[in-house]
Amino acid sequence: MPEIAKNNQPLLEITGLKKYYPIEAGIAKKQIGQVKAVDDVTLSIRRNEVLGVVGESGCGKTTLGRTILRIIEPTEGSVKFNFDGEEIDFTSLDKKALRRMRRHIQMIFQNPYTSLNPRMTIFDIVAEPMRLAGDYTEDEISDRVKDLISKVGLEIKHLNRYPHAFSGGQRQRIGIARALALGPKFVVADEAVSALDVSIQAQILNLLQELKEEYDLTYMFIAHNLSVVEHISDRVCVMYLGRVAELSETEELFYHPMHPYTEALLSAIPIADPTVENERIVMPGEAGNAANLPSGCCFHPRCRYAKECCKKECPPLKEIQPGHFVACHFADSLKLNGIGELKIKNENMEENQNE
Amino acid sequence: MNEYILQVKNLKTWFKLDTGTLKAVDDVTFSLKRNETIGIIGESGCGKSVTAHSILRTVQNPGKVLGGEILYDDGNGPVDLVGYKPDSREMRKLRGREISMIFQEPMASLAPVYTIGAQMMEAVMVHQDKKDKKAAKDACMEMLRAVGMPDPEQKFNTYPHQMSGGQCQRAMIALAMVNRPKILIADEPTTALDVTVQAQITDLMKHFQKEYNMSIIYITHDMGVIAEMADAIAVMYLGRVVESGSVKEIFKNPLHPYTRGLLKSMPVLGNKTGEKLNAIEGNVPVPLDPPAECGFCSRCPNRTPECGAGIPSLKEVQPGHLVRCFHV
Repeated sequence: MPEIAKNNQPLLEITGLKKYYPIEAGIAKKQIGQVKAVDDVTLSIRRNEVLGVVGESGCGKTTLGRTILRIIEPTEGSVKFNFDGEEIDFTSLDKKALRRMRRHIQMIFQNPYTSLNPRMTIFDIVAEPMRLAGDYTEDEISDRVKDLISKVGLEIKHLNRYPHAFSGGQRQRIGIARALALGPKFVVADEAVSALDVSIQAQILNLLQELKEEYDLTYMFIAHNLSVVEHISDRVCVMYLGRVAELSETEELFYHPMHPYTEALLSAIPIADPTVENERIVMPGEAGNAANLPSGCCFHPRCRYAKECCKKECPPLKEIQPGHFVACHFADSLKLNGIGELKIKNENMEENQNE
Repeated sequence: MNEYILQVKNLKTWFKLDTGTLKAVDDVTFSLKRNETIGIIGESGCGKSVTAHSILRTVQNPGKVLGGEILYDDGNGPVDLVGYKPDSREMRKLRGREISMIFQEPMASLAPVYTIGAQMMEAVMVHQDKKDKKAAKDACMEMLRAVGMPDPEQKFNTYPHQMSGGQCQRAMIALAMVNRPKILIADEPTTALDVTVQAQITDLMKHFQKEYNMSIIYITHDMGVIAEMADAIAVMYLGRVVESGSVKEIFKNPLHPYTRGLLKSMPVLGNKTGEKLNAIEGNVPVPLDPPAECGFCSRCPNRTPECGAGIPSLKEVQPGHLVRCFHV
């Protein structure tokens, strides 16, 4: 029974997470408003899954990742971490306890050029988390650093060099080794491959999958490249202006989206096939402002299906089909296009060419 | 009239450094037809940006265009831009007027201490009538509206840091287009932007191409954008064009091992297999005093000793399809 319980319980339970930044004005710094960067996010992440989190700039995906780790302190909400029968309420830990528990949840950052201390050798960069944790001997640290660095595809001779000697892809490998130094179970990869060239991106994505198998990891993979997210994720969460618009299994989301924003996002992906014409849904305007959220559903000003009720009431995230969550008043009646509809066009075009 | 508006032949741009010679561009050849788009595909370090700057003669010191030809034909016969000095009157007439460029990081590429309006006015007045400020402002406003800038009157008096990435890119396009150039060089214009904004910007460029009979050189590493935008492709690796041809031909029948590796290493939308991607092993070498060998041989799955013995030439293996490889 305990075995089943261990597998069924989510690794991470995020409930009502909020991060609001105050907007202040005047000499007295009176609060005149709020930027609702993360606005009431509830998610659970299963053990060993890769949860992709997508959305445009300003949707709150990076803030979400950082708030979970408490790199940014949440305004409200809880993050519960379940592992091996132990339940830890991450959000209520004091500073000392947080420091100890941080070993379970780590982060890989986006910019390989700014996320490594340029004045530390690679050895010291990967060793630092262990030195801070305080419960490893220098010999243990040395063994772990050497092991990690070769697991990420670099060599022992690289250890006494500095970050500037390495390419973007190599630096990202170092960042990954550092993230794994304390043996975490949950890793937030915040745009971990976005700054890399296509061929290096493939190497790093493969590496992340290998490490997941080897170290029994769970990932939150934050990205804006939808093809990459589709490839690596088991489930995908689409965010818009701080809220979750849609959440479901990956192929279900890509082939049968149920939120108008997801549909528009999918239609904007350029297809790497010159024989396919992409019928794009153009959303008017740009992504709104989290400091000045529209009334009701925050997507309604750009939604081609919006009706009166959308301006008044904010739709809750509901499970419309098993495992498929959508925040839209018309989720069960809209017939939206997924990427499958594009494939049909492809076949038609090829037929026409043969005639 | 010559069907090619631009022909780049055997271009060489080298940087003489203390540590050696950086051969950023070392034999680049491609041709751009009138009213068409050529996509230049390549990753970091392949020399695509230096190629763009070489065409406009804006290569930074100590880089110098040392060989080859850049033949520009505005309809009155081809002229070799390599023959002009970078700060010559001829290049100044061309730059920003007949040949324009837009850059990757829009907020970093616009002057931060001048308003968008001031920057556009400068572009117009340098190339057109210096005295008629009203006509210049009308031209700027017309272009701001044409690029779909929200609130164009207000944006005319705004600074780059006050706008979003997408708006800055529209401003940069407006700036590049205000003098109706014949060739637009777009150096990774949408890499820093969201996919939805990227879609709007590429649609805008296609619209301008039709409206103003413009030819485009579109530099990117995104095969999806290339498939949408380009009529022809040139693939660059380590300072050289390694494959070129029509966009349909290159996607259907890629011949160079680098092109094939690149296409195979990308996750394909709608094709989730759960298997590993076919990554190209190794890293791009730095072209500092490079040996006389095929630039890709250190990472090529098909390499033989012959590949390390000399540089293969760019050969036409099928009509319009050129490849630089000993084994094709």
